[in-house]
Amino acid sequence: MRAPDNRRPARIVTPLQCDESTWAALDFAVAMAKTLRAELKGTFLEDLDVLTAASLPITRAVSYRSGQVGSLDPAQVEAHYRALAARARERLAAVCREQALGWSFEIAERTPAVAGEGEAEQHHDLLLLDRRMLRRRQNVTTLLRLATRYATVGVWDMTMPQPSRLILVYRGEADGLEVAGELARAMGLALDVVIPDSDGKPGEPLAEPVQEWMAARSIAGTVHEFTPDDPARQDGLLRLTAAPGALVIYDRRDLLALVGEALR
Amino acid sequence: MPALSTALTPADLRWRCDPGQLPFKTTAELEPLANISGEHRWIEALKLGTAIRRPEYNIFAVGADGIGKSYLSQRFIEAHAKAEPAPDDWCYVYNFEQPHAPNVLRLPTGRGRPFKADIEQLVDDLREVLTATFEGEEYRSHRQLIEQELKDRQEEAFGEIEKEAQQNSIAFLRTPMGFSFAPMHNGNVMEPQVFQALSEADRTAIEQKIKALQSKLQELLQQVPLWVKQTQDKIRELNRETATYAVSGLIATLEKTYGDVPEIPEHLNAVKADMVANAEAILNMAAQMAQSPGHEHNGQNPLLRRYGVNLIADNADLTHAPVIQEDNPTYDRLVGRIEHRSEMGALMTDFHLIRPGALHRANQGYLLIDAKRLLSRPMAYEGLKQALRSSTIEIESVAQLYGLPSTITLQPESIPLNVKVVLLGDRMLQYLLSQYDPEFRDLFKVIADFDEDIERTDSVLGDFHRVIAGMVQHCELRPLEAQGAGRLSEFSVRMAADSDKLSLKMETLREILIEADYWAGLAGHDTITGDDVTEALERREFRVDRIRERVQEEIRKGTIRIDAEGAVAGQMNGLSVLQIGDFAFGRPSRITAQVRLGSGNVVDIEREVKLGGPLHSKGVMILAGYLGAKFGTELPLSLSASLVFEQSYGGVDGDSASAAELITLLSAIAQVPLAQRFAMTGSVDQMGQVQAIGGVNYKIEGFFDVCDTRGLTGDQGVLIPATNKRHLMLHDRVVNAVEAGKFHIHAVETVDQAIEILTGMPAGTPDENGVYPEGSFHRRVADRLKDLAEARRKFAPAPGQPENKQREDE
Repeated sequence: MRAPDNRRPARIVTPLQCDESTWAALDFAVAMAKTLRAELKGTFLEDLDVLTAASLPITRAVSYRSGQVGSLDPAQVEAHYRALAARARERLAAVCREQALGWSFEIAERTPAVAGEGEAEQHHDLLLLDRRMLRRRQNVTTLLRLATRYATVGVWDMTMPQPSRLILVYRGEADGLEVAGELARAMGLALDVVIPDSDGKPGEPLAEPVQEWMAARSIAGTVHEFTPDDPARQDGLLRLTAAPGALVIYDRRDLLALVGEALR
Repeated sequence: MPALSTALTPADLRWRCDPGQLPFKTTAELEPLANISGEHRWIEALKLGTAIRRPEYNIFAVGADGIGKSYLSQRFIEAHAKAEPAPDDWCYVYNFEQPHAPNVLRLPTGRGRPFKADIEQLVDDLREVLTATFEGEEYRSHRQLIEQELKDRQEEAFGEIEKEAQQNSIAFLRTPMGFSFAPMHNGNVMEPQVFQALSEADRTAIEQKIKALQSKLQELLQQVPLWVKQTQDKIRELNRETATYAVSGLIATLEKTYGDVPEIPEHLNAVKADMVANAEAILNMAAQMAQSPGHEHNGQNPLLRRYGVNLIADNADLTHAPVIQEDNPTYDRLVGRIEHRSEMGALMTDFHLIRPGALHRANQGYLLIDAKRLLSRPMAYEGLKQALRSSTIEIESVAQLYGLPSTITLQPESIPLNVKVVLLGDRMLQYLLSQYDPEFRDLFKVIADFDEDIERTDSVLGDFHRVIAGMVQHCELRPLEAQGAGRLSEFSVRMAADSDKLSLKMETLREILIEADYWAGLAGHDTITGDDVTEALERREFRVDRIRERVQEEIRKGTIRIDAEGAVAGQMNGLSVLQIGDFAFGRPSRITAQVRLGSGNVVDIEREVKLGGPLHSKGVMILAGYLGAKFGTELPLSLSASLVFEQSYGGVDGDSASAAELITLLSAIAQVPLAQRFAMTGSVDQMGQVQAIGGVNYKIEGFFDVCDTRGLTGDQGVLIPATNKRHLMLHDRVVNAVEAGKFHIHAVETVDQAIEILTGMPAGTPDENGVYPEGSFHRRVADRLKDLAEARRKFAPAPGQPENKQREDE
């Protein structure tokens, strides 16, 4: 195992889509950024599939409210996205000004689809995602793009008022442990470390150093260790990561796996 | 000068209270008394008025200003009220059915305050309880369940469409403008160039599939509003149940506490229903308040304000019926008013801005009002009568009473009125109201008549000193020594203008006591001495006697001519009283008479120039009658005479100088000089009897001061009617001068007695033939009149000649 260092997330990243759940996610991200004294980064998500679809001559838009069928052309979609992005930026700026938080804003479509691992590590970002976002197939492309850029991802059900548990899915990455430790201390929560594949790296036992690391930092919590052939592994993982009120910190690879499951 | 039988002794000139005879050294030894005991009309009236508890048996306490009728009435009524129960509490609350007409609630004494506090606590708790209940796990999970049902229903419906689309290689997309369907290629949305590369048939097939999916989606979307509405209904019902649960718990305690008070359970039910109906709004408001902590007072929030209580009559601190004295009885202060506050430039009001009036505070008790003040405040008397007539308090603005357009206002429910009103006023006001306002007689059936003075018996004097002791105690003054009490008693007698009476002008006595206490303080006395009272009286007089001093100065300098020595025919000193505010003083005036040939007219110059009042004219006519009766029976009065108050530039009224005028006129006719060292006052009848007049003390002192300033000659004095003897209460300076033989006061019963003093001649009594004796005053008068008649006869026209039309009088 690589020795964990004392890095904590410098930026909290939250996707912005201008729907109701986005604002709930923003509020949660603000609270998290304040707790961790981190900067807040808003990432407006333009859906490439929609832009492509709008370029087809046969596609139409069916109004959410009236069911009326109308035209769908790229310029119109672009204009809508611009307006939504402006609105999202405005809201983000207002909230951060009010809370005296540093902030930045980007439109995801216009950034390179795949950023190097170095950049993510350099910024020590924590990407916060609404659990419901993972369930929608349409978001998959976007999520894939995001997941490739951030090493650590927090997944959370934004409909819940406050996290009551903090769970780290740990595969030996120092970033995740460091971030989870910081969060546990700052939020006053116990930390459940889930090691889904304890012999994933032969010769490098994970549970023991993690316990030592937690004890050294006075972080209360439990380490749950599973081996790949453990018959209770699947249920145990599910019970922990899908527990109501749990904020789950994933490694990027786990997130990709989750998205893959969604795709299936 | 030999003493005449008419001359008064010093003992006749004033009553003296001997401090040595008083049974106390200071008033601290006396048991205070509210009023002098005895059979007083006002006590009888107040007893009757307070005993008959009917709306029309209100009381009018009548009497002169400053006799303490307000104080005495209040003391009497307070004593009476102590035996009566404390009144109920009254409060205004929101009327949930008719917001413009607030409801009134009646609570037993002392329960209004806790009710108001309990309701305020309820409102405070309401925010917290609703917030806690609606943020509680149970409610949230219920609501989440309902909302999830809708989401699931939508997701399921959209999922089926998405599934069908997928089966047809069509992507189901959410775009900023709505749902959309797009063909797929290799798991992604088909690129336009790929689509273009498809055959016409394939493109048409895709298009048909998309159209079919769109139709299904449209059908589905038409169902969504219905689902949303069903969900909202469920949430509303959940909210209602949740709020009912939360509010019922809060109100249950109040229902238990106030269940025995009529109308309160009904009001609490209305409050509960409204709170339940507005639970969501209250929650939103609570959230807003939490975000702006500076504005979180419930009273400012219109939604919560309406649950509050306006305790308009809080009688928790009373142990008996209230006795309220309203010193500024404006309409609003009597009946109450509805205030407004400015909101965005508009004047708004609500039931919290209903303010009570004196009638609310005095309800089930007593209300004392000064009648003059009441009548001088616009609409106040009308408002009071309206309340008494209807036995209710209805709060209306004056503008409403006049029917003038007004801003948004309220029509509060009226409050039953059971009050005993005591109006305080003088006699003239009572007479005028009785004469001109029929309603006054209907509503104020009891007249409590306060005497201005009382017979000075030993018992009354004893009570008087105890009343003084009460004043000293009430005003927290130094104890009054017996000598001071004696001086004060003497002053009271002088105020009564009757040595046999004591004045009851308690307010004036109170003022003198306060001022004497001040002088006692300056002199370093522990008690108020007789000298302190004297000092207070003298200083009091000094402060207001500027005009008197100026008049005396002008007399001394001769600007106003008063002869106090020698003898002049047809001239003598009359006496008048000038009243300036509360201060009165006597002023001598020269009365002169001129006689000439004429037809028997006596011209009153004062009347001719309209400076004489009717009573003065009457006096002059009486003296003309005297003259005619005494000397005109045998021969015509062939004279014209004119009478005047010299150097009098103001009005003259009253007949108190008629005796002096008569003697002056007789002197002018007889050409017998009158001693100018005397002044005279008194009215005369046609028989020559001298009658009592007012202000005798001031008049004597006025002439005395003139003589004293010039230096008393020892033979100067004043003639007064004998019937005024008992009114004498002269200043010590006059009494001392009389005692020293330097000044003389004669009490005369007839004009003849006065003539003898003023002329030194016998007046003369006619014999059986009506002839006055030789050398008598009246013989001189008769002879002169005879001469005048002879002279006139010479000017009479011969028979057959026209009468001389010359106006001889002028």
